[in-house]
Amino acid sequence: MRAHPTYEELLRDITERAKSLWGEAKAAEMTANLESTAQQMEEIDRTMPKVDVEPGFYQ
Amino acid sequence: MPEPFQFSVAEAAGEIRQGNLSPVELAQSLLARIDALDPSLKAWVTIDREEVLSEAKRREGEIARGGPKGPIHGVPVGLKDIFYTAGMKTACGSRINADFVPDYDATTVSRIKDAGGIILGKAVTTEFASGDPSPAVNPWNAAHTPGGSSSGSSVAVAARMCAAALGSQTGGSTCRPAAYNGIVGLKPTYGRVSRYGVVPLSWSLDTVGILVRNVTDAAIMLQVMAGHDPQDPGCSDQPVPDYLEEMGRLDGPPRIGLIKEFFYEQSTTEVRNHTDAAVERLAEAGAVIQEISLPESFASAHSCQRVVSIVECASFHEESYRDRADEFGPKIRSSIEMGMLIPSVRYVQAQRARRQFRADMMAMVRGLDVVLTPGTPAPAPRDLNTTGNAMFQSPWTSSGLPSIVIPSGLSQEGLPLAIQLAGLPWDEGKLLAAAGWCEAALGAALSPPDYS
Repeated sequence: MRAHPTYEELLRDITERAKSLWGEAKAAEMTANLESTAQQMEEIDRTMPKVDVEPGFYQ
Repeated sequence: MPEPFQFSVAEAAGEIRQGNLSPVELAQSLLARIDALDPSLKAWVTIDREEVLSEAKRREGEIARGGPKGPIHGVPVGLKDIFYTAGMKTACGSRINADFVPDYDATTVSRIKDAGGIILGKAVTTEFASGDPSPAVNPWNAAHTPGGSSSGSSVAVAARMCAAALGSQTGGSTCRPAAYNGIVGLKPTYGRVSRYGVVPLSWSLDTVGILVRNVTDAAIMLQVMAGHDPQDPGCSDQPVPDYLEEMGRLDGPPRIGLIKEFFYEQSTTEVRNHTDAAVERLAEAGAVIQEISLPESFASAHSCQRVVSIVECASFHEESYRDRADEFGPKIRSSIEMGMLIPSVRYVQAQRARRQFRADMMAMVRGLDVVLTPGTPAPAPRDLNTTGNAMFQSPWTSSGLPSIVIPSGLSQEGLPLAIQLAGLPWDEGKLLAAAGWCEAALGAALSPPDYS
């Protein structure tokens, strides 16, 4: 298993959620927004703090 | 003596303290100004004239009996229409809240009243402080957006309908409209000012903002409102210094970190050249300018801000959305719908990345007094379907660092341009001191020609 999901996986995930909440037609209308959101989530994954550094945040 | 409506907060409070101006005269002057200008500028949504005048009379009596209650005694202040005001409508620019009347004041509103201020009225906001444009009109050019979401507050201050107004910032909603309208906008450190009684857009980003016409007034208004409030769990108990005293403490010209990376790349040529010229003027006046680089984590700063804000926005509005989706405007509706789709792990990842980003941004600022960027990528866009671009503000909102925009001149087209300064968390004193120094060095206080 990879450390983080790929853009395609993220897009597939939220597109499925959109279809199940609002149906195929609305999900299709949201395509551009779904794509940019998946891209943003993928971008965030690329700048995650290292797990050995992060406990320091709570000290 | 100038017309009372032209006074800044410091001037009006000073004249009232010295007995040269009565709070009633000031309130009447501002109400007359609103009567004359608001039909075309549409900055206000609710004004209770009788209440304003009766409060002003009460303030007049207090002065006569025992002197001023506080630093803004008798000064009317505008509120973005998301601040709770007991007995006065708080409609949030929405159909959903159109008739909502809170039964208590926001902490900020109580603190303004405790300091002797008068609530002048509620200023127009974009719907729930989100992206659907409001009807407010840019006093510099009606064909250009006034920005948002604190659009009415910014327009009212720029057009001299009040000397100070409150806004809020979740992305760029205080500093961007301030820049577009040629005034000063201060976004304090996240947690510096209570949000109790402020309708949320995104709890972990929302910050109360201050809109005024000069840096001294920003310091006065921050002084009035800053400080712990147990009713807002996000409000810090960090000590609050005397900001006016702090403004006088800058020992010599400031050390300024200039961030060209990203901010220059995203700016128009005109904004880049204008910022260079402003920086040159600051250097000539003695500022030490040092170009600095952004941390790696900046790469996801905008994405973190968006993911966090739309998920929290969806959470807050879920109930209304399920019953009354059609009553939301298209942009906020789209944010709610997209926010509902984001998996919880992705939301938490965005919050984790923000922690790293905040630490990195603090490291970047340390050793300097402030950092400087252009205020906005371009002057207010000629497009009334947008509130403009918040990309220069949202990194400071997301990291929680305090930031301020001050006017720096006009574009070729005659629209305001600004520089943005940011400092370390809880060090608004130094930020205000540096901003005051830059304001004096640039000498670019602006006034819209048709509304001066």
